[in-house]
Amino acid sequence: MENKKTILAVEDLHVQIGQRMILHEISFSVTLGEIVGIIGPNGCGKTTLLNTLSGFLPVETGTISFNGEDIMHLEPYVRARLGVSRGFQHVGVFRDMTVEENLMIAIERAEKLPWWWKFSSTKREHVSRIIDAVLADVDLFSHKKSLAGILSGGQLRLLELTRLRLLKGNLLLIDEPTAGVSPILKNKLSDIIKKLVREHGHTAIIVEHDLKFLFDLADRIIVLVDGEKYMEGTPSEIRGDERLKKVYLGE
Amino acid sequence: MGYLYTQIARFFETSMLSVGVHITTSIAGIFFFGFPVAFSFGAYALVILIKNGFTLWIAFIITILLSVLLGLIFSLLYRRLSNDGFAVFTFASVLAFDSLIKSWDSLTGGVLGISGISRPSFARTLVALVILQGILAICVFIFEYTLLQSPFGRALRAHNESKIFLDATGIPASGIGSFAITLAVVLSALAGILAIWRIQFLDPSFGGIAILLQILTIGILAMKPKVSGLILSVLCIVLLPEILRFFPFPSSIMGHLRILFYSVLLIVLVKQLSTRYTSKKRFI
Repeated sequence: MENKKTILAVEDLHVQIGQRMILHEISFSVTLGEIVGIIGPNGCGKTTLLNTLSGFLPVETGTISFNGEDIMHLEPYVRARLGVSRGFQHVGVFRDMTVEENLMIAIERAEKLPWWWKFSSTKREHVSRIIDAVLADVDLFSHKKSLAGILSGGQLRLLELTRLRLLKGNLLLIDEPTAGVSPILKNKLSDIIKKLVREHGHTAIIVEHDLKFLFDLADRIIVLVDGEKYMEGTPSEIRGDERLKKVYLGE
Repeated sequence: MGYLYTQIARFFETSMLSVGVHITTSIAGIFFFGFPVAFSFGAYALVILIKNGFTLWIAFIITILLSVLLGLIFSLLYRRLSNDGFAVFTFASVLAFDSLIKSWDSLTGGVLGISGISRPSFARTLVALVILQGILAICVFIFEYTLLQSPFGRALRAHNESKIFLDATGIPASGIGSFAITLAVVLSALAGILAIWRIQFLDPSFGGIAILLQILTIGILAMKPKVSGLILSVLCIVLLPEILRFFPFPSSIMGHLRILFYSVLLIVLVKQLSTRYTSKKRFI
């Protein structure tokens, strides 16, 4: 059996907001190239878990290590620089900026471009070529100069995923990628996430309510209920589990 | 001709002051109201240092360094306070600085101020000063244009939309905000130095709410990240109240009329453009 490297290890995580304990005793690990799905009823702490992993919420107790390094006390932007890339429930693109500018922000950081790159025709062409190629991949080329705010929900998702790809992070934390997305775009999103993981070497943790989408995509599923890890297994194990039907599907 | 040169000089001084408000409030969405403090601080620091025996260039360098320090203090508070708290603090700092100047007679001359401020030898006449201000204003505009084309300019615009999304791309939102505030303070202090060389008299009315009203109006008018828009806004706000001079109002109320004009314009602009300045409610 192939022994894959652990990219993320979460141990005994407790997260408290105000007086309320949102996450209790969460432990799991993610190996390189894996797609882990997180499901659970509303309010069970799925987004809180992603916020904690990306550094936007402080941890009460527990440890989070990324690539063997303790990242518990690092600022969100430092975690992002280390390779923890984040997609948001309400789509983390800058709507008052053009599609092209949204991607430039990622390219500038990932490629460590000098501040004066826009005044160099060679560098401008280089960046333009990258942007044209990635936008063509997701059928957004015609929107290159448009404000991101005019894109549909599905197109915004595609743009966010494209930016995550350009940021070249190792670990993608994606929150409800299919929210407000048409069935045909869901397939496309699924293909893009698979491509990011299989071809570009990313690892992904995806929070999602669309079980069919997630079961087709993920290698492993973690079920959260009331802030605790309720169960964990492969999609086929989880799909057939009677307890999940009871707590999540209400059957 | 003196009147014309004075208006041109006011345009250049206000331009430099407005680049700060453009970067912080218009583009980055930081509600920083400490511009009058920095404007007065620059002028007072330079004049006091020269009065205490420093040569012009040494006094100038020390003033710029002190304004950087003032900017860093504001930046530190920006990192520690909420957006609303920071806005209130910076607004209160205008009143606090005014009280400090009025009460510290031995250093600032109190309410009577400091008179007989001489211009530097290379800008002895008003025309020479206007040329110097013009050169500096052009440099500042070119600097802002370059800044807006750079990754920092895009980060400033992204900061306005969401600090969280900006952090998630690996760019420290608090660092971007701090740099913008420090830069705005230094530019305001520089504008204060140039203004005091024109007026040659310094008292507590030099910086205050009137200046704040004026540049906030410019900041709201020039909300797009374009230098050309900023230049047009400054022209409009500096020159429009001059129309009042052609009406038969007593000269004693002209200053008050100008402030009233800015206030009414600011209210109209804020009402018309308020949606652009309302914080965007986006959740993660």
